[in-house]
Amino acid sequence: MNIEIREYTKIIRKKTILDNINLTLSGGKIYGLRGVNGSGKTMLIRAICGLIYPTKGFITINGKKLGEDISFPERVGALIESPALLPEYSAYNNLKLIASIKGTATNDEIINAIKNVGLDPFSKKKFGKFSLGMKQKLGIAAAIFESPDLVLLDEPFNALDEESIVNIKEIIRDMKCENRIIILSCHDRSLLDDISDETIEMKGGKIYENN
Amino acid sequence: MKVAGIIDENPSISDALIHILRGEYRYDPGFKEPFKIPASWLAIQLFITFSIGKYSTDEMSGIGQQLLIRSSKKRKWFFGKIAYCFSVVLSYYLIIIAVILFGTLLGLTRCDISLTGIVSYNLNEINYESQVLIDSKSLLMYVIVLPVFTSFVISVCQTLLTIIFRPIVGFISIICYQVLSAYFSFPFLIGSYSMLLRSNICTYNGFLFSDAIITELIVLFVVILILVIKLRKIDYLPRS
Repeated sequence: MNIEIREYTKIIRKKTILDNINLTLSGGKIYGLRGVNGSGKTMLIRAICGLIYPTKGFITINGKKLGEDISFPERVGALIESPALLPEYSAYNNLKLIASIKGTATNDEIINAIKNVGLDPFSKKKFGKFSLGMKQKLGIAAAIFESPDLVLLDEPFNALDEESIVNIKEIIRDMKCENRIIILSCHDRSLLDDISDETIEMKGGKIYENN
Repeated sequence: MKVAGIIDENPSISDALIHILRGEYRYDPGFKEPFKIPASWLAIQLFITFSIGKYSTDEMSGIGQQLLIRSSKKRKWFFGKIAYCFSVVLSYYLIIIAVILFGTLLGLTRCDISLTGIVSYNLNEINYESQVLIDSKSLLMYVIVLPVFTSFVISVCQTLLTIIFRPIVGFISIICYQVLSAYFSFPFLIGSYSMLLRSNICTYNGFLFSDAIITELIVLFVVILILVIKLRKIDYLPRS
């Protein structure tokens, strides 16, 4: 898996949201995006996901141009901003619905993903009745349960208690494999340094630092 | 003399259906008669517009976004929104029919699908003189098929405006378009095609079923073409 971002610029209502981003991301690594609110982390994740169209520049995924050769990355799982799933569905039914699009995930994979993030897969409790932390955990499960090649997690540790943060960090580390790119954004520098192989600092829509 | 939509004391199912969906005769600003807003017709159109609302943009976040990125092609997602428009429109007309059938169970309407003679004559400024009844096939085409298809095409137009601009733009534009359709008679103001009273079976120089369908197919084709072209460059961001 390889992602090339070249001269990517996004302007929305005359405001430059992403400014001349150049990045090369390769499989087997966890990338951490750091930056203050409004620095462009979420927009960069949306761009890689194919949800926004560049004003200038392009993104290629495994050599295929996003928005031209492909609409979205072929095997992607994403948690972008707050997880908003169907409020009247249980955790299992929400993931079952999402799984029905590709039809690749088995029932066991759905159950294991829910269990791994610390939720009860057999609970009838509806998503709308979940606490913020539970919603966040299910959002993470939704992003990873199909074992995608590209995992995009925007602020995955939001609303999680310490024990859950340790658990999610473990899950993310376990997911790391040769062909998989994991990108996560977070405000917490120490958390990000701990889990990422490379950190990318963003400021005002630009890459400020790349370690 | 014409007295539109008068229902006798014991109306049939078709009489009731026509009473709700008949619309209003073409308005001629040259005459001194005041413009009459077709209230029940407009109410149905507004309910549909409300229901289409911001569904397509809501689907750009939350679970809609999860399904979108997994659908692999934007067109698949888009045709899902078109299917939603059709299901909403169909549901509304089915609800109207269900309410009338419920009225039959309560004894409010007669369990008979043929149009009562006096209703047919009163609706009809052509046949009033010739005393020819509107047949049930024409009734089906003009009171069910055409209104459903017209509302569907308009809801797709609303979806286009909602996706390209924002929900409020789509909503206000469609309300204005429907009011203009009631006031003016112009082929591309397709809202009036869902009014039986403006058809050739009810009024002189009324629209033909085939003309209405062709015009609506042209509008639908153009709108879908614009959406398919625009779809590639649309930002899938939450819009309020």
